[in-house]
Amino acid sequence: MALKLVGNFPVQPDRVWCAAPHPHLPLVATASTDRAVRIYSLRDFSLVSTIEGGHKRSVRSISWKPNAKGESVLATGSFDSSTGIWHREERGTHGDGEQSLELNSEEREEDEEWRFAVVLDGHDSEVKSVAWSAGGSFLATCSRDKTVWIWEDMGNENYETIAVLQDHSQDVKMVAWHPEEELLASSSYDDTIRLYKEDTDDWVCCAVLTGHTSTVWSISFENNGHQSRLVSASDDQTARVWHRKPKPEKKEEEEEEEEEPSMQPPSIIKGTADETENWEEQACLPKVHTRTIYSVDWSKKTGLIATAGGDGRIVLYKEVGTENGLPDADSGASKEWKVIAQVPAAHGVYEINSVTWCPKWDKLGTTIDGELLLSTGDDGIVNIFEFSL
Amino acid sequence: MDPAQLYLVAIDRDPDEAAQIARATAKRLENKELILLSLTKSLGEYLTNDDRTIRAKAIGFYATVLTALPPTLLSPAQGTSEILHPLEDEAGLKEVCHGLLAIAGMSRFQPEDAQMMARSIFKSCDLLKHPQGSRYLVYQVMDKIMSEQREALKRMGPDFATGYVELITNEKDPRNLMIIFSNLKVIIVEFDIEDCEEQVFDACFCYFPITFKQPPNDPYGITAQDLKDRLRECLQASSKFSVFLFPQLLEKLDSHSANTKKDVLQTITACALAYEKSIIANYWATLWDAIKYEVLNASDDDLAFEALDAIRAIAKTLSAKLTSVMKTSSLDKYLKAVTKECLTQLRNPMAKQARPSASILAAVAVASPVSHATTIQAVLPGLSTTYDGLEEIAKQRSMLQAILPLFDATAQVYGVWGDIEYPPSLNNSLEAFKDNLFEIYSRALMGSAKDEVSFRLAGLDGLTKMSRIKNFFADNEIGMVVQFFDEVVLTDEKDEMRDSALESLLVLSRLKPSLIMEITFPAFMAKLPDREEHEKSYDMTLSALAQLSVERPVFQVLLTRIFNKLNIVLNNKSGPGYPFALLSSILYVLRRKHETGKDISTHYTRIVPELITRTITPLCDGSGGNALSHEAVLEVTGNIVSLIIRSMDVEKQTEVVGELFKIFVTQTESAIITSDKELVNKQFRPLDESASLQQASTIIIFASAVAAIRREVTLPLENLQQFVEKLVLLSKTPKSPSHRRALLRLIAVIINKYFTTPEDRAFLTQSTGEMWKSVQLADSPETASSLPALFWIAKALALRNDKLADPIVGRLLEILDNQALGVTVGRGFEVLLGDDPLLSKENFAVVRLLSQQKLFVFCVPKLVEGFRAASPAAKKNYLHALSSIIRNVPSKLVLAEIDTLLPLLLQSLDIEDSDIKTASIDTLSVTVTEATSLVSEHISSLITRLLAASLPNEVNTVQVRTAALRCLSIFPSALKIDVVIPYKRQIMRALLKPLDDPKRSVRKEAVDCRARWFALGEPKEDD
Amino acid sequence: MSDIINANPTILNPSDLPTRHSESRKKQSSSAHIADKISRLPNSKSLLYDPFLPSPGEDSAYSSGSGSDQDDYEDETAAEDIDEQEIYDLISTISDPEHPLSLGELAVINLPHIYVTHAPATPQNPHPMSHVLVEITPTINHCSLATVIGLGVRVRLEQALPPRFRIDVRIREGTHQSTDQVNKQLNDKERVAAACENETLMGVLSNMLATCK
Repeated sequence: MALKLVGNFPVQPDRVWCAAPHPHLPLVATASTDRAVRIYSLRDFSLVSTIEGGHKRSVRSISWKPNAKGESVLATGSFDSSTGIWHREERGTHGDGEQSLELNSEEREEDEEWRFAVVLDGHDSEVKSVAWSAGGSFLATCSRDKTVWIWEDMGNENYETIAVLQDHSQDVKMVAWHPEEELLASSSYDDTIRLYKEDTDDWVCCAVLTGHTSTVWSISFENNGHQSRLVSASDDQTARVWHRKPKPEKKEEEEEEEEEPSMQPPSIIKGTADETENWEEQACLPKVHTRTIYSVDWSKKTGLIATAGGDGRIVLYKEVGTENGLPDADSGASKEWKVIAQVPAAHGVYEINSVTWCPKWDKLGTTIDGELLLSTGDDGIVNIFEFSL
Repeated sequence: MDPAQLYLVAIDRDPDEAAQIARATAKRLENKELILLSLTKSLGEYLTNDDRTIRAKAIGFYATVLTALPPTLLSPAQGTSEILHPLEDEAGLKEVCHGLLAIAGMSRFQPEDAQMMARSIFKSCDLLKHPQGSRYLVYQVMDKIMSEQREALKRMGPDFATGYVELITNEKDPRNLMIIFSNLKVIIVEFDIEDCEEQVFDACFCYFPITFKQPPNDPYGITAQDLKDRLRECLQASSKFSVFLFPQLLEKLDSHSANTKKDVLQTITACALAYEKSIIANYWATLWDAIKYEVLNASDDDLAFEALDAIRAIAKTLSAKLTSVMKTSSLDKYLKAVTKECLTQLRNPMAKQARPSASILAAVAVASPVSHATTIQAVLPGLSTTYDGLEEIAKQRSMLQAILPLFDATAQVYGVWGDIEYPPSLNNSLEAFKDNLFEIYSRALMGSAKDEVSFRLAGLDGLTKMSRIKNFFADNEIGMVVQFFDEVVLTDEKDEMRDSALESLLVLSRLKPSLIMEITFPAFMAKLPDREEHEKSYDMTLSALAQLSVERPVFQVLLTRIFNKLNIVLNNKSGPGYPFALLSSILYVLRRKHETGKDISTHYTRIVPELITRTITPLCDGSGGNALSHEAVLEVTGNIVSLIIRSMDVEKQTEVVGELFKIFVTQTESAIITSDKELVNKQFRPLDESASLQQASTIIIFASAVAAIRREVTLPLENLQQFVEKLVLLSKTPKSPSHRRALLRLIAVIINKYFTTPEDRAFLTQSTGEMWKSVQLADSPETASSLPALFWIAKALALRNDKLADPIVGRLLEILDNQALGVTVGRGFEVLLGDDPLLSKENFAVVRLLSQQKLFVFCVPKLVEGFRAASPAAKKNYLHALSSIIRNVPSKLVLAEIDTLLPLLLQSLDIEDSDIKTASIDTLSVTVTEATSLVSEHISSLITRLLAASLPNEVNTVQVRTAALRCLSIFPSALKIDVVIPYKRQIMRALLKPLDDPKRSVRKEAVDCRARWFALGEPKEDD
Repeated sequence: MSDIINANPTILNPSDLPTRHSESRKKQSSSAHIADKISRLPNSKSLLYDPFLPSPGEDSAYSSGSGSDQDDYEDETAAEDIDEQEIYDLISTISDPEHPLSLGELAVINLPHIYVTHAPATPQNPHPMSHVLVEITPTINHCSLATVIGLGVRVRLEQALPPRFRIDVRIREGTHQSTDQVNKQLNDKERVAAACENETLMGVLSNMLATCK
């Protein structure tokens, strides 16, 4: 049961903020302080292309557009308070006809044309996070100006702002979409997490999750349909799992009741009238980190949770059944979280800015089972780990 | 044609010829061939001609003739009328003035003529219409008549003054103003301007303040300050002006131009000193109220200084004819106002106004003895009660510092110890507060916590300043102060305290030398331990003693005491450290005395015989010698002897060198040995093959002494060549490195100064040839024993640009690629090109100009060539040689050859030798600033190597790492931005490692270097 | 409770500020320097240096009883770790954004309020981290400037300290109304990074850091 370092991408000159694996290609894009987005191949960990000149300041966050047809679309959020949308065609490829960008090296040079298609301006200060919705039709961005914007992709490169959410009272650190539903979560410097839904064609905040005692740096959804839970990581050095509670009076039609409804403590104060979501803290992951946790990622495949932060440590957690089978009092679930692996100085003495689960590819460019974990650090290195039982 | 016509024709063509004609006419007038009347008649029609230029030329002719006449010939009456009436006529003003000047210069120039001339000028001259040159002449005429016939003009009463004032209205030209101001001053002082005072005042004051800027190539060289001074003299000339002057001046005081304010304050000071006491008595109140702000909330120190000057001037004038404090006097009222204001400000010593208030008090205190007495009596009681009321150290410190200027003021009024002027009769009113002040300042120095440095420094300053005041502290009180300072010097661990205390002791040692001798010296000597203790307690005391002894004849006392202590220490069998320090302090004092031009040869008899005897006798009596024969101590003894001998004359030197040769060479009895003469004579054989290490090492003293001998002194030996041969032989089997070096230095000194004859040169060529053969056969540094001798002989010859040196140096360069010897030879070049302290111009060695440069230029190309051709292993030796050379040669020489040397320098960074690396990096640092373009070409390889050199390993010593980081930190400022910017990110990351260097000094360099690169601004993205 | 707000800043005299002992000995004029010259025994690197020595390094002949610490030839091995005094020396010379005085002289930075801790190196974690906490005492007129001063201290330390250091800069409890709010901002790594890319703010900071010696 260990997390083994299997390699790393070539060193970048400056701090790397985050890394994002391509939805269906063996590629990873990274965002760096030196204002460049670099794309590496997961087959041989080599640098495929570098996107420069798009932003005047550090690139803080990147997100691939899921199920983009015939092309790759990348959103980049930067400290220059703008979000860039980049396009690159995926041409028909050799033999197996499967849409693959992967061309052998000679052809790689000429397919360098990442096109800087659109600049989404609107935020008054640094953009901290960008995220495409599961279906790829919405793009959420958040910034230090305390706002979360939702853009709709109207096709042929024009985007429309369909919501400007000003519920947070401080700098918004991250946005993340529910894996299936059109439910958006945001975490902020004001120590809270907020959820938003479209209610009669108008996006609105439908839940406020309080509990953390300091900035909530990162959030990640579980991949479990309607029951998907949310994990959050904070400057209070804790990571917490939140789950959706069924509304007592209003029955959700398609929702079957797994656990018997038990008396829930009064959920979030009914501040907003049309409160349709009721989320509660289900568990607090075992406390291992000694400094701020900057990043958490809930594996869509294995359900493992990975965290990393200022103490240079990467920790893996797994949800296991309690030996004595006793239902856990408040969450009703009979499970608890265990730390199953740790890497103390994953980037030497440097802080770690992000961890992301990523599919595994073999040399020929076909996916194989197993999953990799990418970590990016202040040392300009992107490490690749593999968890083996 | 009559002369007038001739003149008129000639004047345009050739002015000299015209002048010639006029002089001839004057001549004819003189010897009566021509009478004035006919001259004026012939000029008549020209004078009335309607063409202005003709009229002007005619007057010009007439005036030139008049000036050419002897002053006694004509009476002015005859000539003036013709000249005067054209005055109204604009034409020819200049010529008219020349005429008038001629007339005014005549001996029979009468008072009436002067008055008439003045009146007509006033009446008819409207100067505004005329150019500045003509106006200048008119002023010169006025100046002339004022100096010739002043009394007559005075009799004209106010008309003259008013006339003159109208004449000069709004004159702007600086040259003209200079004359006007001096004339105005005369008018104000001597003329009766009773009922036109204001008009004359306004004529002067309208020019105030002078804002004239001297034009760059100003022919007349008149500066704004000249004008300001002249104008000021007018304004201060009559105290009757005060009623107009002071109000207007104060009004101009709140102008925000510092220049104007300064001028106003300087004028107030001048007038305050010039006007009578009674005048100032009515104005001091208004003046004080305005001026005090310029000090209390002064933004600019110069203005505050001028304001203080004005305040002092007022006090000085008001003190006139006062011999004691008089309650009713205007001075007392003035001082009451001043001291009241300052006392209120000083209530909170930390406030911004505290220090300026103290300087005001000092300004009035220094004005006169009476003013001093009044101020002290008014202020001291208040200040000491406030002081007692203060608890916080910071406040107490500020109060102590605020009082300090009063001590300086008292010292100025009542004199300093040793002043011969007679002190004022009024006794020093500070006396009443002496005990209290002594106690407060002593407690501050000695009674407060050790780390309250600034508070204790205030205490120390106060005691020092009070001790300087003549007849203030009694001798015993100053004695106590000296004891306080001794204790601080000897025991305090704060450097700043020790330095200030020693500084004060030096001040007091000049004023009260006896106290220092009786108190400080015994205290310091007592502190010197009798034997070498582990931690160095003696170095601070010796350093203080040495600094105190330079000033005074106390040096004799120091010598006796140090020699006694040396005896005790030697008997206690101590190591070389303590004796070395004792002798070094003597050397330090001798050097300081020598530097300040004192003749130290007089100390020979007291020092040299005793030191040499004490060093040598123990080596002969079988006691095994003592610390004095340790190489380091021998070196200091040698330097002492050499320094003393160097300042002796030829005759004295001949005598001394004779004695030295008796001891060290011919083993005959010498006067220098003061005890156990026969024992020494029998046992002392330093130049024998079989001599002990200690006896042999004493050659260090002999070599240092001989090095200081003048060339004119002949050495007491018949055959110098034989002696040198013996020394060379000895140098092959030295007892120790320093023994060998003493021998080689002796050889080099003798060759450089005394080997001049052809036989000598032949001897040299022959013996160096033999040496060279033995070196070629040698297979290791030990066997090539004559190598060092070759280097020193080459140096002796090269210093005097002797061609004999070239073949030797050439061969030395060749064997650089010799596997075994190369390394030692490489290092030898340091001897060849480095400066030797004994073989130097000061020691009368023959050192030709540019000898070092010639040698450098001779070696470099051969070195570079040899390096290229050398085998990889041998390349290291060339770099050794190069680094030895560049370490000892001025950088401008190296820079001249930099293009050829740079590649070598870069490669020497890869050599695993810290000396080479440090030398190369230091040279590169100079190159970066001097040869920027060349360095820019090699910048990337330079940066990678410097970054590598900044990481700790056994070769990259602290010195190498610091040098590398320091060199890197020069790049951002020395090179062009676009050359360095691409490397910024790489360097910022690479410097992260040296930030974690184990040594603090290296980390410091890394931090500074990184800050410099960080400040380079963002690297430009090409977006 | 210490004086709630550092009302009027007592201006400390530079000579009273804490310095490292050995540095002060280096000043040229001080008698300590002369003492060094007088009493320091020359070793092979100076007076008696003979280039022809086979390896002119060891100076056994001159080791006398008194093992004085040779300033110029720092003994290579003794590692000097980064301590509170070094941190103080790095930041006390930062100049106040308003008046021409340093944070040391204004007692905004004080040696007792600097805490340095080093984690021990262990086999499985050979690169231990170190931690430095600096507590700032802003003066009264600093209420708006506390953040800029804190940022100045943090940027200076981030530039001058090796990456193993975790830096926390805090306004001393109770010396400032919005202490927590400022502290949170000062220790938000991302906001500090963003601030460093803002030209106007960096202009102010570089003036403050220009006076660092």
